Amino acid sequence: MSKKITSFLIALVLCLPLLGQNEWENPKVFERNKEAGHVDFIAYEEAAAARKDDFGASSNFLSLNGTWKFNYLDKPADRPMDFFKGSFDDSSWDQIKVPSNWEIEGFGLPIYTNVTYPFPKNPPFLDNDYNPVGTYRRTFEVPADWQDKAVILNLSSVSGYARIYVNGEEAGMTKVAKSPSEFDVTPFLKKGENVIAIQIFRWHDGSYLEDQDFWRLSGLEQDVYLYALPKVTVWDFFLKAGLDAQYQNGVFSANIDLRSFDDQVDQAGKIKVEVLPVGSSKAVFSEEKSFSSLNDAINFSSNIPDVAKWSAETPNLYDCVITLMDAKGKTTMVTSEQIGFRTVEIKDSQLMVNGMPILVKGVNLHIHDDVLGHVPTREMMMKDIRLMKQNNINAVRTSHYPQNPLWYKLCDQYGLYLVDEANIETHAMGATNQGWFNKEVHPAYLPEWAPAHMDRIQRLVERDKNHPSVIIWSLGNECGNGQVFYDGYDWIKERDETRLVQFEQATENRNTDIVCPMYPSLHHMKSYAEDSEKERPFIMCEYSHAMGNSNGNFQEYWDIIMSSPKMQGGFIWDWVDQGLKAEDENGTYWAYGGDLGGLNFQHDENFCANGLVSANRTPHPGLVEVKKVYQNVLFSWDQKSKELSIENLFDFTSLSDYQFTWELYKNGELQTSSSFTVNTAPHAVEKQKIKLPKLKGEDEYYLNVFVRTQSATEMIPA
Amino acid sequence: MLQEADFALSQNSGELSIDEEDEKIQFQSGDISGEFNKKRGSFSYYKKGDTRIGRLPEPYFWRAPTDNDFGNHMPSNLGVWRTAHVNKSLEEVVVGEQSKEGLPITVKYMLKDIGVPYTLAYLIRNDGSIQVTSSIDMSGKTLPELPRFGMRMTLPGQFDQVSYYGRGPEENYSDRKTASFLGIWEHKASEQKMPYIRPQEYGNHTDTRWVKLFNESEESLVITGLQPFDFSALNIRAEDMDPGLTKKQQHPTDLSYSNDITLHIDLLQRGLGGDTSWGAYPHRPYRLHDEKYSYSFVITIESDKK
Repeated sequence: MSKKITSFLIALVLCLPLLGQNEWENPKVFERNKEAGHVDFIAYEEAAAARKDDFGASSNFLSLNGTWKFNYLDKPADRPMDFFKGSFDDSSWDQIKVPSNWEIEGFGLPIYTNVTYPFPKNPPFLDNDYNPVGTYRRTFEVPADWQDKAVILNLSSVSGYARIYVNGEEAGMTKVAKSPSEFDVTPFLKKGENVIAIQIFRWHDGSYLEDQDFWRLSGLEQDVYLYALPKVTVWDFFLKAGLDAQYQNGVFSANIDLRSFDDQVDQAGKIKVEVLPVGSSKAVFSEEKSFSSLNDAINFSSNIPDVAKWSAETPNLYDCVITLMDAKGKTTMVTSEQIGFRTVEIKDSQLMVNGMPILVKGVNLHIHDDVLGHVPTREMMMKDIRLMKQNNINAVRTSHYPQNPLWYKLCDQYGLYLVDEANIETHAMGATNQGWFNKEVHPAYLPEWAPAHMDRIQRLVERDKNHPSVIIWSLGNECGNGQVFYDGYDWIKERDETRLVQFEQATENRNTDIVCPMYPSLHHMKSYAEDSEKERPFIMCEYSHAMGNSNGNFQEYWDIIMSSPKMQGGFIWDWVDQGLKAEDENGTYWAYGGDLGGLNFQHDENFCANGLVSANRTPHPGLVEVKKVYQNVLFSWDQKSKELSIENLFDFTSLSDYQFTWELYKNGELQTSSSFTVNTAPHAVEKQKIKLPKLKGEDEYYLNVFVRTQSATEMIPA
Repeated sequence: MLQEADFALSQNSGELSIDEEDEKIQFQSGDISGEFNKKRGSFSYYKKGDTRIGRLPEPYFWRAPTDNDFGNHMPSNLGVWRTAHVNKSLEEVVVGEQSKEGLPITVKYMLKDIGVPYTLAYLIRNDGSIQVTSSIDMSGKTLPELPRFGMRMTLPGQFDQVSYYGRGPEENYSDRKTASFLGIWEHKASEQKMPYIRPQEYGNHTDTRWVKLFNESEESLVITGLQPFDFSALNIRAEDMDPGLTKKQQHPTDLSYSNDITLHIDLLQRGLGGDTSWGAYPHRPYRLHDEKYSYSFVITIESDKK
């Protein structure tokens, strides 16, 4: 009897939180009516437009960026409840631009905190006495020719728990930032003026999974747009562009998912897939297939002889043009995605790209703009890529969430290797190798949180799966290693055999292909380097913490890396200072944690500013050291033979395109110099005789050797 | 580098005249002259023509904590060095015999806060230049590592134009210098602004053979090492960038740059580290753990053009 009562009481206690549980405090409900992750694309009328890939130029695209009406309040209890109604009077509301973070626009407080949550830790609950709510409204008109089309609303990144309404109807709900939130709004649209209303709570259960070391900012922080698709449409496509065993010929396949938004429409049609070098009209692959139902698997595959391979050094791209036709052969949509032929694999305990063991000369990158906060722009991406390319950086870890879709296109185009990371960090709940933590409350170890984790991992892969620049998926950062991360690893390995998976939190357990520790000691590195039992490459996901005047002993890391083939580099923490431009009576400065009114809130001082470059991308002095140590040509001098030894560390680039100059200095003054060229093959070493004048014993001489690009590229001047 | 230079400086010719009167030692060689005060144990002035230097370098051991320094608790653990140079007692001044090298003067101090003897051995050389040898002996003491072992002096802002033979042009440190090549580099002290989001140590140059600071009449104060040395020449002092034991929400805009130039001449400065910013120390080869340090440099004023 007494036993029964006890269990009844327990059941009652367990049920209590669920009674009247707030939706934003329930990890099991992390979305509603939200489209599953898929490749981001726009439908065009014809191939030439599709290949230009300018969303705005498509008649199937309608941007909802711009000025919205906006209401901000500190707590959910005060929020407007009928904001979604068409008749709602928002005339007294403020205005806000989209995309933006509302804290940057003057609504609420930007908070920088590293590990500690900005709310009391009690998952999945929040402090609803301070949990700001931003409500957005605007009107739009649907293009007239969209009448027979399906229309998808795309919110490229919403930071917060958001409910989205169109013309008074709920289109859906999302809790995941950084990955697109998409909703089928077709049934809600009408002719003339439409009203879209979005209410966003700053913090929600998903905030426990977004505990990244960054400014905590909210709102519609990336593009918002509608796009139209034919009622029978291409919905997703997995384009695989690999190489044969000799790394010579391309091995291409396309798996295309079709979708019908209307069962009344004829479900039969044709699909054509073409592969063409970028800028060329000569297809290296072209095939057309008919389908009679959407259940048909639509797979294309072919070998393509002698492809121009993709690597970070040789970012050769092809356009893959996908044309959908109805049963009569009339084109209903065209889209295009750039692909690059390359392989990624582990062989001989080494990470290989196109059969070559590469060195990862990487940095970690947060989305950060000193004026816009977390709003990405093309200008800033180009600035970053240019600076990275000019400083011998060849790899980026998208710490700690997917970047904006444009970033991947630019990295494909200009050549950077990416570790693409899922938007999961649960740091304050505990992390592997960072002391004891309670697995009974840590989301990574609790089944009710597992779907939310898996969703973030799947969204990462499904959106970015066609980008050649992505060579490695990462399951997350500082988030524990519960069962869900084994499941996530297995899911990716099943879904995508063309890439590797890394997970720092796995340490050397089975759910990581790469041993990717953060901040290992040199001692640990040496012992791994010397241990012949270790069969996984060692690539540090974070090292050389670039906070303030730092990056000492950087060469020492690389001495160890160069000592063993399976030591293959790492990602510096990190690329850019997360400073926010601010002004006081003394002038303009970059704010950090505790500034901007945050002094009495949880903050972690200037720990947000660990960049090799400052917040506006002005290089810090340490960047030249990184450039030097990350250089792709090594020199050594043999005083006896008067020979310069030149080692080409490039993986796919001969040194024939470079100009070499040596300069002999005597007591600091340039005495003589000369130029030469060599044709050293990738990974080869060459000796070069250098004729020096006679050196006098009492003077100090030194020889500088420079290697410079001969012909300018868009990113690197001559 | 093909060959290490021999840093022993050749002794220049010149007639050194000495005039000793009470506590003052006046000296002259050509148009260089100066005065040493035996009672104070220091030079009262040093000049060539119209170019006059008030005080010669004085000991200094601290640096404005970097973020990594805060991470490894340098501000408290090494804090004894923040002011160790201040409270020093003059123990002894020994004026030696004038020899063919010049006139030696040895000044002995006690750094009273830490009970450590510190010696400045001067040699007023025949050409009017002054060789300075700074030595510390911490034998038998339990002291934390030194942030830097060096000296500093203040120069009027007109010595803005800096030329040096050492590693540059970017600032560099003992553990971050492979990209900074040896060469003769130039910059203006007034253009060296603190480049980090939070004020901290900056602007150092390692492996310096000589540094010259030119004034408007194109005369220069010249420091030549008897071994390579570190220098920085900035319009700001470490004290002005040091928030103390904790960070204080400071920004570059909170710094007030002076017109004066603070010239550091160091044997060594602690490396930067960077393995982490939450506890990792600079690596052992880049820390100052020895019991004794000593180094020498020669100061003079030159009027030859750059």
